[in-house]
Amino acid sequence: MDTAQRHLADPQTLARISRLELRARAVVEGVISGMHKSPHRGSSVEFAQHRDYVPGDEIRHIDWKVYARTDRYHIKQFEEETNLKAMLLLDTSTSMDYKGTKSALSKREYASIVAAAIASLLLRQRDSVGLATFDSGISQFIPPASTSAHMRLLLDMLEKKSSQPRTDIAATFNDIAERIKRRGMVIVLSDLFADPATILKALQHFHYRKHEVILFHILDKDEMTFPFQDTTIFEGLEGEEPLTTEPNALRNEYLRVFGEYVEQLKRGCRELTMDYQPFPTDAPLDAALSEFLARRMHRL
Amino acid sequence: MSFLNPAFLGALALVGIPILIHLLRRKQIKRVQWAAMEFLRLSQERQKKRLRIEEVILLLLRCLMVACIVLAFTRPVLRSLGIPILSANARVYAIIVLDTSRSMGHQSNDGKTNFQRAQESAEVLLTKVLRPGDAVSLVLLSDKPEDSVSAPSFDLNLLRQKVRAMRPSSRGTDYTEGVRSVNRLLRESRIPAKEVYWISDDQSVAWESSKRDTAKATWQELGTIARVTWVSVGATPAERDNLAVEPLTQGTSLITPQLPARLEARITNYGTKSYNEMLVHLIVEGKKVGSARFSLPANGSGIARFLYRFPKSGTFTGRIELTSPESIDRLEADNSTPFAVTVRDRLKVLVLDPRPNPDPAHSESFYIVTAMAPSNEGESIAPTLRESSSFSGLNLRDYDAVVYVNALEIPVGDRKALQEYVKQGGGVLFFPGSDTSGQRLNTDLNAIGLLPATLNARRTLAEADSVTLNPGSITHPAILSLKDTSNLNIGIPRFQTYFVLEPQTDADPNAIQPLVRFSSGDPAFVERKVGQGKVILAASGAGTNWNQMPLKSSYVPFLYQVISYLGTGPASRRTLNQDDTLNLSLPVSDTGKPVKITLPDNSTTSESSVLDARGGTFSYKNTRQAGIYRIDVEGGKTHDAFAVSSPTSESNLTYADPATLAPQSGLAKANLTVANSPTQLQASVQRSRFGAELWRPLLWLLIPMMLLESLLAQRFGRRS
Repeated sequence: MDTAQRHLADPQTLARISRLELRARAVVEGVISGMHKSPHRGSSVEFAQHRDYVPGDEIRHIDWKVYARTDRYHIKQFEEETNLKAMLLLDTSTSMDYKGTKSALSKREYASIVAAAIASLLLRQRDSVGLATFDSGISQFIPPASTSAHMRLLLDMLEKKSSQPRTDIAATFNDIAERIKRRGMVIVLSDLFADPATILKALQHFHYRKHEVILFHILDKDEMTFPFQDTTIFEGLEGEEPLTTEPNALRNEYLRVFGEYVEQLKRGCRELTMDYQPFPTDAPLDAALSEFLARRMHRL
Repeated sequence: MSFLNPAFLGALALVGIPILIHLLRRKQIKRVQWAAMEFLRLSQERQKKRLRIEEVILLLLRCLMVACIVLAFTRPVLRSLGIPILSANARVYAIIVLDTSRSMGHQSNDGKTNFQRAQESAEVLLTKVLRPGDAVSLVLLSDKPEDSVSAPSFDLNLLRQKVRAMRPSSRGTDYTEGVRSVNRLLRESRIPAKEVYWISDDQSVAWESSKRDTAKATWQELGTIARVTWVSVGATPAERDNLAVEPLTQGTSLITPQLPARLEARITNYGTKSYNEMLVHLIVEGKKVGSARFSLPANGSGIARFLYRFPKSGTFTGRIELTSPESIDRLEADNSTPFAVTVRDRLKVLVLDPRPNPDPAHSESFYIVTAMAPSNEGESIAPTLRESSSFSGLNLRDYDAVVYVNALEIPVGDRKALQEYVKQGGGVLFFPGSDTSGQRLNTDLNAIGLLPATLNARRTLAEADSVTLNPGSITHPAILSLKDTSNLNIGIPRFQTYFVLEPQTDADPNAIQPLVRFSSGDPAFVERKVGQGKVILAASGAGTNWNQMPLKSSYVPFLYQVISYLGTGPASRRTLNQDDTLNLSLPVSDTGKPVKITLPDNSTTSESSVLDARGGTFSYKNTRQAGIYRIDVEGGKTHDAFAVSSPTSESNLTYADPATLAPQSGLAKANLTVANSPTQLQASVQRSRFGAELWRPLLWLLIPMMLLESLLAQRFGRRS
């Protein structure tokens, strides 16, 4: 990866690029230039099954015969779509809006770029990519698809700003798992600020359904280091009661509690054979993604 | 606790600053929108108790620091005394005790005498410590303190002038006496706040009387009534070496123009340096008439002896002084000692022998009279023999001594006169004889209180068993010179017959004492002091019937010493101690005429004499000054002189620490403050009057508190 491209994928630089599409492209270029070209598996035109039409599906895939019979739009799915079905689960709860004192991007922005970049990469390989955003529940759901227009749809959804406090993450994940019919890849992008046991239990649902689960733990550096000095009132982004603290006095204990939590997550993921990848929002995205992809390829 | 700047007390409200800062900071603190609230809440919950305690500790510490600073500005003082003082500005009754003893004339290396420093300290007291409205008494401290200003005076200026005009006296020092005077004045004052300023040179000897148990109550009383500030003005212990010429001991009791008189003085070295070839001069009537050289070891003493033959009878004055340059020390007053002696034409002795033996060889009075005046002319003693037991018809006052030989009785008519004669200073010597009845003599003498010892059985020994006088038993000053047998041995003559004497008992244990004993241990001569006179009783006779004494060479000097001792009563004493009374007999022609007394400081006073049955007498009691007192009867023929000397102890300048000895004597330590300089004095009074100022300790306390605060804040994580 050359320096110029790396520079482009740096969060500081990305922050100055307003459009998510461009942000994602900058990252993807960086990733691609750093790895060998993926082997093209070839396309299959063998019919596989029908499914309901959802906005974004290509018109040409509508099975007009079925429409004629049933008066409903159905899409013909071909074998080529079964290469990889990836589902991006993006946490859009208010806690993801946190942007650290020295961070260029909020966790939400960072996660969106990661999601867009992954989607872009997968679509380039003609894999299917879907997207679900969640906060208090599922807010949006786009099933996986591999068309070129699908990317635009994903980007539009990723750029939506609305957010609500997170409530029951387990219920939300259950809900999503129910909606994903076929076995595939589930990529979770979240700060996962909830009880680790609950999170793991929710993720277990995906595991049972034979999904491959990848956990992208999006964290701000402040959350990992707690760098505050003066007496500070911390106001919860998700409506928690404010807390007045002496950060210096509290730091060690905070880091200990936080470390325990991360460790518990990691351990749980290991036990469930899930991939756990921390993503500090100050880390260059391409490098982080490349490192992750390289590790996965190595495993394959 | 009180405050010198109470106005600053209001600033104690500043203690609220840390609390205010704490509260304000709560209002102004940064707000952060935070996602990971759960972790924060969890960590805070776990540490809540610890954080609260740490916060309280830090807050208290910071409040305490502010309080320290504010309190330091208020200048708090801690009063450790329980003396009732209505307020810091209350009027006080102060007694300035100024040591005026002779040692105060001692000069230090800085060229100032102790007394000058004492005056400076008194000046500081009267100008800077005591304030208008305070009542002040001045006590001049010595071994007999005077209340210079016994009634409290409010005129501090007048007192200052008095102090400036004062000079040290020639007296000794007795602190307990001083405390008694002070207590008396304190008791009389109704002002509740009482202060005593004791300005002295801290001589060790001044504490002697304070060591007695009886003194304890006196010192304790002082401590309960007043606060005492002790101002030490003496030289440093290293500067206190001193040489002293101590009062003359008149070696020869009887001084006549016929024989050289022996004059002595003790030179004492109160120091750690030894001296060689010290030169001491004898000065009589202003003329140097003799010199002596001798060496003095460190902390030792020696006797300077002079033999001088006075040219004529009369009273002579003079002094013995150290004149060698190396011996001149820093206390000039005791480098010489005055003396006055009466030189008599001769000593008149009445010898009474009731039954003189016509054979001189067996006449006891013959030996006596011959021994006293061997050549009958130009002798120091002029004996008059009366062959009777009675002196009726004679005036005993014409005789300096009376000798009874072969004493039989005291006729009833003589008894009162004899008793009076002895009481007035006369001397009587009794020799028993072969006709003496011990019982009779016992009764007669006992009747008038003149019996020195009871005459018991007469003991007659075989020649082989005869006894001698034992020179080693001599302790009596009258014949002390005969103890040394190298030139003259009084132990040679043998005694075959003597009365066994049993010394009487007297209320005064020193009144009766043997002069010398026989080799058997029995007393040979016993003296009894009665009034101002004395009676000596011999155990054996004056002649050769009972002993060989008159036949031996020791007889004359022995008799001379005893008769001189008896004949030179107090009336002939001219060198006295301070406070002794000057007594002088005057011829009838001079009585009634005014007597002029010229004191050592050349001031004069006038007294009158008294005429009674025995003739004219003159007494003068006010002998406070040391030196020569001259007595002149105006228009009369009496011109006499006395010397009064200072107590020898005053020359010993050894230092004693009042901070130790005053509490040991009974003064409560809490009520005593010791100061060594006028500046220290002011500070001490400030402390003792108002208490100890605490602002400095408070500021010192602030430093560790600041360090502790930093340390704790760092540790508690309150500071980056």
